[in-house]
Amino acid sequence: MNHRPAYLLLIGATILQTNLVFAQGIPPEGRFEAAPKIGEIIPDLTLVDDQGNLTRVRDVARGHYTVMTLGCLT
Amino acid sequence: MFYYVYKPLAHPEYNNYVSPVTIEERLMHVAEAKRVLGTSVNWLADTMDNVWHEAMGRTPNSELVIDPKGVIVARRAWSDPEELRRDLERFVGAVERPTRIADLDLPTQRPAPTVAKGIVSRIEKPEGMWPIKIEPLLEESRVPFYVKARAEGDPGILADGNGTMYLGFHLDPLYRVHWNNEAGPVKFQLEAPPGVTVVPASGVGPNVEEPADADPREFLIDVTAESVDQPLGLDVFYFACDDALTFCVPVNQSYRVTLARDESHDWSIQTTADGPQLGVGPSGRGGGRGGARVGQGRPDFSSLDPNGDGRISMEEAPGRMRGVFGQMDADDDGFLTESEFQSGPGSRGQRQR
Repeated sequence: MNHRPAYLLLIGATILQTNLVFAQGIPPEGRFEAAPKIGEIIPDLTLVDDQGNLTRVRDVARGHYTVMTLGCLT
Repeated sequence: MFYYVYKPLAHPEYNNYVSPVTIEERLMHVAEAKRVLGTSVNWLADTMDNVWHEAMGRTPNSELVIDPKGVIVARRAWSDPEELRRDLERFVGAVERPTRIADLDLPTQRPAPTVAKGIVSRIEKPEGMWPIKIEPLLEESRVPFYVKARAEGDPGILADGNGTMYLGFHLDPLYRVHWNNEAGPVKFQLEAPPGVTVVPASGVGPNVEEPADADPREFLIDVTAESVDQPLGLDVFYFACDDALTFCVPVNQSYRVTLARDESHDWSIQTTADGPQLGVGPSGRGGGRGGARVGQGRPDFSSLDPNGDGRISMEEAPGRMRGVFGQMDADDDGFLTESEFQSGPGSRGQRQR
């Protein structure tokens, strides 16, 4: 059983996965201006967990520090 | 807690992956991402109307750190592991021995095995193509969309609906299916609204001698439009078999095509004489045929091999390369030779596998 901190797995996976994406005509940095800012509460949105269950983001993040990173296969 | 949030494909068709059309298919992508990455990190899938992706400004790889009260305490447009580590040390505390990527022993799996085989030639798209909106009519189909139609428009299409439209019919590799060429080629029919003309309005894929293959079937359509307000109808008919040969079925499916840019994707795939390449859209940035490519700015092999042993390890590889390291490592020995480096994804010699 691997007892390494889970976030280290994420860091590694982040490097492996997300470097497949590259900037487009409108830089992500510019588009990200529309995203929630530091000090704001995360949006009250609902996502889907890997079992297909609807999951409120605020429930996921409640009570502990949470990292949320966007990614995809390409 | 750590979550990846699975979003729309940034580059549909790259590594043969095509956009899911249902949440069940998006969850199949999540499972595939777990397989490819070999990671146990938690995943959430964005909804099919992409609420999280939209909230994050349609960024492909943004990242939030959220405190226990739900307040955002760090954010960045591009995920950065080193900066994230510093964030976590600041908010949660440092660890005694930071784990290196090499310590994780993460397998870098190859893409799904059902991929284009190079039997049917790819077409070369005009410059500046960009994905346009294409919506499958799910309720009208009794079977999954084993084949996903993709549509792109050239700058003329994107400007006022007059120009060249790309139609590509791509097998979804996650269904492990292939074309049943013995039964007949793919056929399509476009239904244009009043004021719109499409040439050709119908098409038939090539007759292929091989009994089965997985190559895309592609067409270029000339479009003249007085207005782009109304969508085009697209009907597709094909024969599909799964790779395990448990079924072979005739499939008739329909789409609605709107002559407007699909903002949920980032780039088009440009097919050139050198094979498929990532390209930018109509902004023209990146220059040259197909615009910027993965390999642009790639460093020299020697600069990535500081110990001069003639090969690049995962640790020596720059971050961008690590995501495709497994694909480049043809002999799976964990190192890239100069030959593997030169022929890997994004290089001019790359061919779709």
